[in-house]
Amino acid sequence: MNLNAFEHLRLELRRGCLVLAVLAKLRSEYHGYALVKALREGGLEIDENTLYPLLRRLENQKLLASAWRVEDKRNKRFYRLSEEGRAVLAWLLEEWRNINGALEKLSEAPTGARRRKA
Amino acid sequence: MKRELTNQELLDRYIHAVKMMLPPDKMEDIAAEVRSNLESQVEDQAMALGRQLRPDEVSAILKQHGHPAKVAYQYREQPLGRGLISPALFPFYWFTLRAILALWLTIRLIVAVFALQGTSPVGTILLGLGRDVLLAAIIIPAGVTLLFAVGEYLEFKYRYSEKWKPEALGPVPAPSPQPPKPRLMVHIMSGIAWLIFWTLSLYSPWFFWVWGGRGIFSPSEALYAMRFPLWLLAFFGISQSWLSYTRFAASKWRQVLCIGMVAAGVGLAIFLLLTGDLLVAGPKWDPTQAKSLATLNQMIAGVLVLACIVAGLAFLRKFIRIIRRWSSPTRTAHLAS
Repeated sequence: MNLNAFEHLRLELRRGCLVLAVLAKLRSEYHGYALVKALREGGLEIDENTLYPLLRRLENQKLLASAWRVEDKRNKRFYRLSEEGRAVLAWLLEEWRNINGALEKLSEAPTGARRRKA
Repeated sequence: MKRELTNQELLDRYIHAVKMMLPPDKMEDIAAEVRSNLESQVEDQAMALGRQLRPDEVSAILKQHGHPAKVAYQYREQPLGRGLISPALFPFYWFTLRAILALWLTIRLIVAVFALQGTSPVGTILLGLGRDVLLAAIIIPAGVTLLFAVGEYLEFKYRYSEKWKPEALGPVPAPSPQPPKPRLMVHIMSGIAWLIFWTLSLYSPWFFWVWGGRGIFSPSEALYAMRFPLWLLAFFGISQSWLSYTRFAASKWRQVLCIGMVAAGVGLAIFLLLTGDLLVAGPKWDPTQAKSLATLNQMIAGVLVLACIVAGLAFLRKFIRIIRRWSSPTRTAHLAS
């Protein structure tokens, strides 16, 4: 089995889902490290070095808003979905469902093959 | 025996190393965020263990977070050669490119200054310098990028991300003293002295013409004609230092004034250089002084060329920083309630 090819494809697949997961999670407010933990707890392992710059890029695209605030006597930057981000997330989720539905259908065994099995 | 670094020292060194490789306009903000996230991670692990972390455990967190060069790289928006050079090699590519460009420019400037001592006209030397700088700005980045792209293709990768140790990062230098106010005061005082001298020369031509060798050398016609712009330049220079001293105007407006001044100064210097010799024979001219006059003119031209290049580079750097700062969206937007 070509493990390298699998790993490369798996990373490609995850990269697209990551933005969706981050946007979905940021419907509530999180600071960087808390978001890493929340995503991990949700089953999505993410490298800190990928997430933190991603948050900034999404903020540059005006999909997120951020503010520095003191929590537990420490200054932290909190991120949250902006109004524009909320709309984009809704569209992306819709797109995701469509893709998922299409993939479900496509990954089913072909009709001819099923008949032969029966 | 080497002293073991504390948790705080390890963290400080790491953040400093990341910060030094970040784009200047964002370095403070990004470094603060990286620090905040790392501190949260350290605190979280300490809470899970029910005790303070040991330095080796903090070191492991930093190592897992990644080499400072790699961390800083992730925050760059569109660095040159990003498509061809992978993150693993990019910091070395970037360093090599800048080092070669700086070395080449230094050597070429030294050659130009020596050329000014010869018989070639200043204009020809300047044109040659400009042409070479333009060519080098294309050829050197292309060559270095090609070299690294070949290295990338051949899968040459220095595995610094596996070998580096947070303990080996350099210490954070002591903070430099605040912008020295006495220095600004010296700028203001010397500027006023220059302004008085120049005002005298503006309204009393006899004063101007005898300046420089008591009439043996005199300023050229072009320099004399540029008295008023030079006076204005000195006036704005003093204003800029005064605004910095009193912090009267917002920092960005002081920077705009500074940029305007440098641009005007460079423009004026180039104009004067192109007009030829800035000192000519005066009313009490002594023909035996001809060689000294030529040397003096070459030295003035050399100093002006160097000043123009240094100021031009500083101007470009400041200009790019301001454009970036103004074009970036507000990073401290309040969250929607």
